Amino acid sequence: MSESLSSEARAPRVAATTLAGAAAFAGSYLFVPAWGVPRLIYHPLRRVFLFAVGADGPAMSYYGLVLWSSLAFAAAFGVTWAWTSRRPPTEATVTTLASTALSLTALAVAYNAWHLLSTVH
Amino acid sequence: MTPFLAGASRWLFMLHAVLGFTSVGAATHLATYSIGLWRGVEPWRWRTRLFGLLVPLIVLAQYSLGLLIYPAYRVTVRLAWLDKKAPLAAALFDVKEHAAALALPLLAGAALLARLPAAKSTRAVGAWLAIAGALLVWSVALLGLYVASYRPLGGIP
Repeated sequence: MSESLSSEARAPRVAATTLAGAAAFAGSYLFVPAWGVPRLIYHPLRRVFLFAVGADGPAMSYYGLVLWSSLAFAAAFGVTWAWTSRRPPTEATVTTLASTALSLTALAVAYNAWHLLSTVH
Repeated sequence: MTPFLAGASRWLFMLHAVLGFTSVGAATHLATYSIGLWRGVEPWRWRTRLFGLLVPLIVLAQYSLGLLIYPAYRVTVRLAWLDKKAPLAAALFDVKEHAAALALPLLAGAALLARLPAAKSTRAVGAWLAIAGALLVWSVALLGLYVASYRPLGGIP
């Protein structure tokens, strides 16, 4: 019973940290290309990794983008986990984080779809 | 130079497809049971917990395999065929890859919350994450099918 109660008390904290991570992941997905942040690029024909802003031809910037976003997720997760250890998140905080994470994810999907499809002639 | 894993790309592509449909099923189940639990269907608790364990394993395996075969796709499918003959399919593939990555943190959150006993408001958050994640996984699968209908990985050169 006490274990169940302790887990129930932990759920909002887990929710807040994961949602902060998801929001940071989607935010990074939007801002890394928009700000021209250098990232890891893989060239599949030469089989080499480079660190640059853009990729031409078959070169792939996807791995670098996912890597940056994963780092943003981990950083936001860690900071929120530490922050909520002293002050447990309220229901309003969790709801706000959920709205932010879902909105940023929808925005990142829409932005990428628009950006990629607008280049098709 | 031949792209990484190009020699085995047909078999890996088939495994990727199988894992893809398994991911769709698992994510849909997680969303359904999370909604049920949010609405108070307590007997679904163990099913939600089960899919909270299965979904990350299946989706992560699927996504990792996708990352491994991506270089072969990029050269033998995208560069050789799609860019010249079906640029819309090539662009939709990239949309799919981004949707797949963006589904991961949502499904991780849904899976974590599915494993924990929680108040109704937190269950609602878990359900919304599972729904959004499942919608993205469905989109990824349908876009992948669409692109493969033009030119699958491992096709005859």
